[in-house]
Amino acid sequence: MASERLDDIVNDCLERMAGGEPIEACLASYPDDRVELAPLLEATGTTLLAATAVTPDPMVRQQGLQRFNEAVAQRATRKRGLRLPRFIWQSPVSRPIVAGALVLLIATGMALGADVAASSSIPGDSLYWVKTSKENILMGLPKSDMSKAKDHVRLAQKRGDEMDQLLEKGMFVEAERHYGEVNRNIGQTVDLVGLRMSTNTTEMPTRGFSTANRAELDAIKASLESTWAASHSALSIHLVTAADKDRVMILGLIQRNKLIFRTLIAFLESGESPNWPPFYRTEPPRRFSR
Amino acid sequence: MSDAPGTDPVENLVRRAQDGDATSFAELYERFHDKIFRYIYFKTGNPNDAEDITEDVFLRMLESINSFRWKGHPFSSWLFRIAHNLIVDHFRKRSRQKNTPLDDAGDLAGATSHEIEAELDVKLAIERVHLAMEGLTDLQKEVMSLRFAAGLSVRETAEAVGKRENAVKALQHAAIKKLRVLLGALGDGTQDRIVPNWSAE
Repeated sequence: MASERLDDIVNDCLERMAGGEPIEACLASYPDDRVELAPLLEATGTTLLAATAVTPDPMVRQQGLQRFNEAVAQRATRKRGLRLPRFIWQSPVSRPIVAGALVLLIATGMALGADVAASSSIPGDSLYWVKTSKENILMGLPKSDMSKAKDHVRLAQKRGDEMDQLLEKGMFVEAERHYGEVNRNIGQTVDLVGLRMSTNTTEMPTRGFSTANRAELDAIKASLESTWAASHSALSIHLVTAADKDRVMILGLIQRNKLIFRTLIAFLESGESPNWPPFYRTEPPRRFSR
Repeated sequence: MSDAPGTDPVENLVRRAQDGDATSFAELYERFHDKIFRYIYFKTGNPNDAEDITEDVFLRMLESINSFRWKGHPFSSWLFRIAHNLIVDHFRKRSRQKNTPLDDAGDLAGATSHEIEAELDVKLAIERVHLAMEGLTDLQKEVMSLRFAAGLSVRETAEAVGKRENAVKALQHAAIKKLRVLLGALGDGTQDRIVPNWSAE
């Protein structure tokens, strides 16, 4: 009990001394405890002096405040974009809904972000598979043969653009290999419009070509022409700028490109078999034959 | 204590800061900066470290102020808890630089002999108290730092260290008793020159 009383007295004196009162004033308030109290208050005075003697450099303090204010402003800018009213977040009912919505939003954002990043990827990029997977899924959707034929022309154009970028980067081997994809998509188009192409002279055309879907065939032809023009122009530029050792390969690409596009375009234009190889025979488009 | 806005100026400042009011943040900085600095300096003994850690305390406060809830605990206790944790981190990272160097002649250039003597007295007092503090328990040191350097009330100190107010007073009393012995043991005849600031009317 006596100890607790002294605890209170020491505490009282400490607070008075911290407020600027001298030791004597405090001792005068507790004359019965003066002997025991005096040395304690001297130690208290020395400790208070040591604890409060050092003050921060005003310049450093001001600079610190400036940096703090900048951090406050940055925090406000960050929060302005995504701020939920506190009552929504704190409500036990709405919290799981808000959390679920946020997760969905983030997942969708990541998916969209990956899709956007993948759309400009080329073979060899880490996200290229996202791009081709998406295309495969879309191509798997039920559509008419003519629509699929148009889609394959668009894909041939994309592959041509990618090949162009590979050439731009000096990846000639990869570019030449990638041209196979242009060829494959044009081959799919040929198949879907009901054309059978061959370089074998014994596989001669057998019958004429149905023009029942002329409008759609014209649209495909127009698409092929623009694709052909773009790819031919790009390849011609690479031929001019490429080193001698690469020119043969690029020239080969130009010729293959011309052969496959011009032959198909010529056929779609006339509806008749050409008199020069590759010869091809025609069949009515699958769906139209029914 | 209810969660409704109160009349305590610090409480009002904190609530406004939690709503994003920049002026309130600046006022909190002004109100607590020197206390935080002195508390950290008292524990680290190095003014440069104290300046750096003080700045970190306010940045940490800014990051986490929305997590602070008024549930009977003073804001100052929460803030000094942040400071305490950062000091612990600081000591984990590097060994303690105990005392302010006393041979800093640059500070005393142009001073009179009386001013030089007074300045040295203060520096010696700081030196001796820091050395004597080493003899206290961690809890006693924490209570002394919060009460003497930061100027927290008994209640705020009790909240900060997780003790009752009576326990804080007892810890404080015991620490002063021990310091008196330790300071006496460190005495070098200059002690009388240190005390007059408090004993002179």
